[in-house]
Amino acid sequence: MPVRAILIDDHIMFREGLVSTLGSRQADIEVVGHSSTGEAFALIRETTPDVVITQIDVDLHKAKEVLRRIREASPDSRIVVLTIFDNLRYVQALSKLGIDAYIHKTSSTRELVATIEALMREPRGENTVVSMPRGSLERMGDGPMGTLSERETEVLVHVARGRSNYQIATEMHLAESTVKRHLANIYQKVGVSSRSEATRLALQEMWIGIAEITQADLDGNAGGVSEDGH
Amino acid sequence: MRVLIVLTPLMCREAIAHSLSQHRPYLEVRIAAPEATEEELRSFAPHLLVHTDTDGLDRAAL
Repeated sequence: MPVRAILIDDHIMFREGLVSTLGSRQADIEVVGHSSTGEAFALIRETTPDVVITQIDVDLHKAKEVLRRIREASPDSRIVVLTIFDNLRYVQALSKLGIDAYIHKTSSTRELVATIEALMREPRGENTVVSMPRGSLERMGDGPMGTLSERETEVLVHVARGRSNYQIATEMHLAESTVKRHLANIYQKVGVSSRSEATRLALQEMWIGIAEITQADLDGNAGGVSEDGH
Repeated sequence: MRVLIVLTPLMCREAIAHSLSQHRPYLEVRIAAPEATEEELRSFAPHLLVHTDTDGLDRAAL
């Protein structure tokens, strides 16, 4: 019996190409539906596929919401995430959300097929399959960025995107004083004294990725800020 | 007609090349990494190049 899969991606050209690729390979995969993220949840609920292959190229907050809704729509489906993000923090955070595979889009379609096959061989497997560029994995150290809490890292991503304290507070639904406290903790933990130093170190250690920062443009929220945060 | 696809990342390159081959089987479609573009332009001599406009390809190579 073929593996029944749903493919979610907002880029139609890529999605259709991948559907065509998965459908034509020797692998026993039947793509029973595909859609953009917005329309996906009803489709998943309706088809309850074995595997949901989903693009996750959004910030963690939105990623969590997408994954929660997928789980809600079909609790037993295995979830394969396709992403352009290649930083350790993102892998860790998504892994905690119970995904079954994390596939960077620099992987080949053959690797994607192999991952789906591996997941199906272990229906109750508890491991997460990760396929990432070797260089990214090799550069991921145990530097001080690893000591940041999830909340602090989230603040740091906003800082790297050029947000002011006020903008960060608004987007994260926090008081501006709380954002300042998080920033002070970040500076102390990683041994820096400015926003730009913190951003540089986070990028250097690959704790956050360029794709995460530039995603702000796609969200339509980019904005400039000076070194003092205003 | 020869088509060279040098989009990134690899999964997008493969998916689009596959789709193109399926819908237009008479096309000769080849994929390559962006860094191999100039070499492929010389050896494959494509009629059409599909690349990302921000990949820094030297126009003089075309």
